[in-house]
Amino acid sequence: MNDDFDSLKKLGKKIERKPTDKMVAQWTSTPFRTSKFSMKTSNWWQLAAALVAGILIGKFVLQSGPEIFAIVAKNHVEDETFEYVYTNN
Amino acid sequence: MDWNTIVERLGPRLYNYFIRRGFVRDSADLTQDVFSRLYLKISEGAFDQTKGSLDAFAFGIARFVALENLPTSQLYVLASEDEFDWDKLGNADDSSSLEQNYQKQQTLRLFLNEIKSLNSVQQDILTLYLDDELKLDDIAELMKLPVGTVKSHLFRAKEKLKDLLENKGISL
Repeated sequence: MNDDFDSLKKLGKKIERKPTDKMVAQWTSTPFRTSKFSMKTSNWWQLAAALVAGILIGKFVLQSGPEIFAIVAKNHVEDETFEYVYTNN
Repeated sequence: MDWNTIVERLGPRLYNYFIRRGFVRDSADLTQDVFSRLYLKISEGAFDQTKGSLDAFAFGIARFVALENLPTSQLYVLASEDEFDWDKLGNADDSSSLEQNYQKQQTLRLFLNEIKSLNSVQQDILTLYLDDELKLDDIAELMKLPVGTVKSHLFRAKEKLKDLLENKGISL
């Protein structure tokens, strides 16, 4: 059956163009041109850095214990008190 | 198969596929796009050799890229031929004479003008089949159509194109 379409394959040959060496060189360097490959590598570093930062922050929060929350709560109360006093005077 | 071998084998074929689809200006860039996607898909393990050939897989991506870019295809602005430097497409053949290269260029121009008269499925199938190595099975697989349907589309495309080209002095 393919023989029925042989003339089409010949036509394909007739209109074929040869890419330049520069084009082929660009296509060959695709894995190095696309940043996806290198980004994957750098993502590991970003992930590791984020993990270390997360551990340090977590450690600080746990070590501070309820005091840190107390400080936050106190500031909040003070702000509200100030606001109340300010608006009522 | 290493990357360089894949590029050497598929590069010129994909490049010519995009030309046949009318992307005369962007064929090299679109081929680059296919290789970027192909590399990523192979890295992710998306290509399964048991399900089909690498050729069919790559041309499936190429077809998708062509469809994505179809609105900007240069196929429909070939009337203003002077704007396009055909030498940028690379040589037709190093061993051919200047006259032979010119003839090939004229045939390509004529082909790109006449293919517009086919419907989109016929264009799709024909431009894939003109590839030197793609078989009907490959096309059927990448277009998700039965082989019989591909054959009948191709037959109709061939008959129509034959009349059109023979009127312009190109035998098919």
